[in-house]
Amino acid sequence: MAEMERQSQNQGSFNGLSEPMVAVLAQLCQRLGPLTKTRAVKLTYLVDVLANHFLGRPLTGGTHQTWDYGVVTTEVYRAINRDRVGPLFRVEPHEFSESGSMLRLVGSPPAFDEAERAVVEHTAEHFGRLNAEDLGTLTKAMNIHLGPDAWGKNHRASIGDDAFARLSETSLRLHRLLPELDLEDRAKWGEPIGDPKAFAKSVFGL
Amino acid sequence: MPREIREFTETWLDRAFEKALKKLGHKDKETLSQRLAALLALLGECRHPITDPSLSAFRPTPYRVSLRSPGARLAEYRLGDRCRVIAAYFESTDEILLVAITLDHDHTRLKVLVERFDASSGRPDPKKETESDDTGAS
Repeated sequence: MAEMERQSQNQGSFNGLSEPMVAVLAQLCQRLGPLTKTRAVKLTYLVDVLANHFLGRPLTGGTHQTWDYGVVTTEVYRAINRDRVGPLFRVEPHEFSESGSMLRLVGSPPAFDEAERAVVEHTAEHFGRLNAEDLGTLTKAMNIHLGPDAWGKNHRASIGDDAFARLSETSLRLHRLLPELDLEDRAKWGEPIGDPKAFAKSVFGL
Repeated sequence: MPREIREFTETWLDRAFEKALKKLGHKDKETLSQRLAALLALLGECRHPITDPSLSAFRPTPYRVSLRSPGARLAEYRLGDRCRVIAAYFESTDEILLVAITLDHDHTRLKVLVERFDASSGRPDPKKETESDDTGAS
């Protein structure tokens, strides 16, 4: 936590949440109920990855960075930490979360473009029930190109098509497994592939 | 000297891939199958699994994760928008190990919704020129 707070303090001045960020968070809260800080800072990132792919632009206008435990949308982190979330929300203590606080919607969510609403609802539906650890692992897997040393260094996380493509269940599972796998254990190697065309056809069930 | 290519049986072709494959049309399966075959043929002959120019169509990049095997490195290859192959190569041998293939289809419903809303609002589809269908093949 001390490290996360240090990372947050390095971000300079903060003037509260932007209107687009408020709209996204309000819809996430409406769909999922109160959000722990960890889920709020990661789901807003996932919203922007999906929006960038399907709408051609991110929705929140937030800054997504590589912190110790995955990607964090810094504006959301700071707003919750400093209790500057605006009149639509209330910050409440949550003793069981990593960050100890949660965001509750207490007003009516602002109007939203239908396509934008679909992106946020889809994010909530597909990723809203992942726990904090899984969200951290997923956001790290999406930014695998940055390498293991990038985490905790506040690098800018990707919202591009590579990040989108890595939103697969296989990527998440692989990211969890790889540090433990002995890739040099030949007992787990298959036979040499003699015919690439035949092999490829079998992979795709042809 | 050609490189031998094998699969790492513990992770190659997992259930998520098999599930996604069921939703893929025949034409897209054929396209991706041809791409995979081409990749394997090139990997078998390449001088380096990432830097060899012959592989550039698959945009290979390092897949940078901490590994238990110190002599292993990972590379990611792009078969299509959402279809990727992750393979390992080694300091001690020329062999290539296929570790995973990823294919994701969970966003079909969202794509349909966004296209419907975009059509009703007159907003251009940002992916229209790069995606021919919903399969991830490009």
